[in-house]
Amino acid sequence: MTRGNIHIPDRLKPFVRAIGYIDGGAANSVQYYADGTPGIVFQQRDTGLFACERSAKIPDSYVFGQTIKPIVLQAPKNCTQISIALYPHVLQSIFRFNASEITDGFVNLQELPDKPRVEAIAQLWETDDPQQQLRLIFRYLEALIEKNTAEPDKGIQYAVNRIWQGKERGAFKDLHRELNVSERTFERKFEQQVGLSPRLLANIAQFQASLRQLKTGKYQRLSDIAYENGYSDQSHFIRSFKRFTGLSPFQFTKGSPGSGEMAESFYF
Amino acid sequence: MKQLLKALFFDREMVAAIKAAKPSKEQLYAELISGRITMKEYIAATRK
Repeated sequence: MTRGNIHIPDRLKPFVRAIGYIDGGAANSVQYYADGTPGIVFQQRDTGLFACERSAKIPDSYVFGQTIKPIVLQAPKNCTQISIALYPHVLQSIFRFNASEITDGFVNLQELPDKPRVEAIAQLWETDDPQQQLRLIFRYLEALIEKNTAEPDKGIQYAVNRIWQGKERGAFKDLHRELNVSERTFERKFEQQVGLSPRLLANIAQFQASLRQLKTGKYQRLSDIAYENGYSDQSHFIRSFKRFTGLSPFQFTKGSPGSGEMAESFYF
Repeated sequence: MKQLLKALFFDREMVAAIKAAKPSKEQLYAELISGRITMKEYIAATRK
């Protein structure tokens, strides 16, 4: 499967950011770092489920919230997993519960109300064709959105985009004025829909920008990354990096023991 | 009215029936999305 041959239906485009597909391969560990992305995962039970040290059992289909603490999942050999990465602000509009309820956590899809029927998803693994599998998932999501008459909040979407582009580092007062709401109302709505405070999302955007630069090697000293991404100094950058990865930038570049592939490498 | 209140508060059978009544997943979900219960409480109640 390639990026070019995935067709996300127009109705889902405001919600779905990317599709992840893991099919086969050796047993591996997959790292998840804070990236502002909630989502939905479907795993084929017969080929083995991902395992996590934080939770005894990971269900075969679940909705996950924002990630703050780094997490490593163990993927069994030859497993199949499809993940739907959502935009940061759409979880509440699709599922209607407060997004912060599942920040750093997940909820089993089977534990949510039965309509639209998750059983449609049971057919998912009757076919090996990824396109057919995605069509089933898209149909399920469309039914869910139809049922909840969901539309993402345009104001929060605007705020998320501004924060993600790095234009609002620490300047949230202007944002709530632009949206014509009080600071407290803005923060409360933002947390309900995104699952994070505006400040924390800004910290994650800053961390992701520095992570990209670190991975591409476009720097001479670590302090270059710190200053180019708006950190006050190198130690501020290292503290923030450790918070979101559990590693120092130096340990990260050397590859710590047990570190595996990053989750984003499976997204199309 | 008095009879109804008496039935509601003093009828042991009725109180037991109300306590034992299991709300549907949809009812619990409505409580969750209105913020009256947390996700933890919702999951605990649906697993009962």
